Amino acid sequence: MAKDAPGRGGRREFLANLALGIAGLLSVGGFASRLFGFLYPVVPPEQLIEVPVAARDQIPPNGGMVVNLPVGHVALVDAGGELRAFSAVCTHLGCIIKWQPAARSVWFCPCHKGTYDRDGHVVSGPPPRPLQRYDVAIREGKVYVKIPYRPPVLSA
Amino acid sequence: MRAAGFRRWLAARVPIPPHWLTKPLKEELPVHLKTWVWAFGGTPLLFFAIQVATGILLTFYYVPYPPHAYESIRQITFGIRFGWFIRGIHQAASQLMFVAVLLHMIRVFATRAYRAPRELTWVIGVSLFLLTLGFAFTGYSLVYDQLSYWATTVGTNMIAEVPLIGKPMLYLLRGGPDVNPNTLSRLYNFHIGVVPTLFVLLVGMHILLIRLHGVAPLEGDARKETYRFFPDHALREIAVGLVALLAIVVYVMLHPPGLGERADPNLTPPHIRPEWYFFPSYRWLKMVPLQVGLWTSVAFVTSMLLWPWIDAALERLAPGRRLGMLLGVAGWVFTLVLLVWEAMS
Repeated sequence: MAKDAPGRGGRREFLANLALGIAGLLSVGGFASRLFGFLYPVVPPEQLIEVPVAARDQIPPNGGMVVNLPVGHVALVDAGGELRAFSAVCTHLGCIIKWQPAARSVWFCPCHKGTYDRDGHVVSGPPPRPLQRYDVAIREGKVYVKIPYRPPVLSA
Repeated sequence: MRAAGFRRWLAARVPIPPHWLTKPLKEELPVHLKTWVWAFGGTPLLFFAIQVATGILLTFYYVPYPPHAYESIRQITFGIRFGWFIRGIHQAASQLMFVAVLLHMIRVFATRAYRAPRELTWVIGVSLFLLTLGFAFTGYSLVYDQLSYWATTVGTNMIAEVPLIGKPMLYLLRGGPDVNPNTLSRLYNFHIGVVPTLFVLLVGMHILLIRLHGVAPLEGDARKETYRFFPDHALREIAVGLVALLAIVVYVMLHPPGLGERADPNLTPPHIRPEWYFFPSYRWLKMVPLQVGLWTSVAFVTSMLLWPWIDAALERLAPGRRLGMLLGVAGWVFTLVLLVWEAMS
């Protein structure tokens, strides 16, 4: 059989390489996407749930406290009779803040020394954002807070 | 006769050309290497080997599951015969490995041994330094005491601040949005699987490139004499290694490893701070806004990786002024100041 002319042979070779390249990309891409899917966790969407966190009289006038629940950490503060609730997770790098009665900086993060006031605003240190505020309700002497929650991937 | 017969038998079945083994041993090295300062190149590898050996031993007892992780470390440290010794050697070798890699890097930096055509050797070396930090971070995350848990929380949270891909990267690393049992499994996997594999591959490439290029000439040293890798240099490296090994053993005998309080996800303890080699980064993050801290850290690491080209560009900009050296020394001194500052506070 006669050899292909350079032009035709080149085209044929190009198409063969193209087909091989596409097949390679598809197989590698298919494998990589499944590998990523395997490693990437299933993250259920966040939903707001209302949970009881404390009795109203547990929070002293102008005092505050952190309540740890299985679904999250809540910071409660009494500001002249008004009750406020925040996420107790520092907005800097995720440590749990502590209540420390003081003139302005009532919330303190032990990790990088960030402080927040009673409104959850940053007073000093590196936190980039105010504390996340939660809706709070008081019914029959109990404090209820609406907090974001992700249900478990596999329920029992 | 028997030994010769066995050698012939082995040579017939594993036909490696003899010069493959003898050539590296006979390699001629420039005479400036014939000092103790240049005998530290092999120490990071020695400490790595110690960690592999002791790490394998620790896996016999360690349980990478949050309810049991701390208890298994407690058992290793206080219950199992010589557990304290194996864990202590593992811990001390990790700290010394960091110091050895850093000293090696500073030596290469000071002698500008990274210049063309050895840029990739430097890039791989910096990658090995970053992997050493990865070893340290994933390693102490496994202890599951308070320092360990909160260091994991803080360290992984930094990733979330990267725009667009931060959150997905955080989920991928943690195996979920928060620190959870998957996080420990993943960090364990990184510590004993992913990071060591990458480390071995990169060390292989690093040594291969050093062998292919030959040792970098020393600036301003006109001597032409050479000496052989074996026995002169090899024995010097072995002597340094043996002294280091002895130092580790004595240190562990005098300071057996301890254990902090069990991890409590509900309580960030006061005065928490990471291991000393993360002090510069920790101090810096306290001083500046988070985004500034994150991006300056990225810039610092990138400039370390690209240093051979940055130095060459500065040299072209102002020939003979040694701007690169000045900038680099300023960077090292600044890092050291942050470290000492945090240590003193």
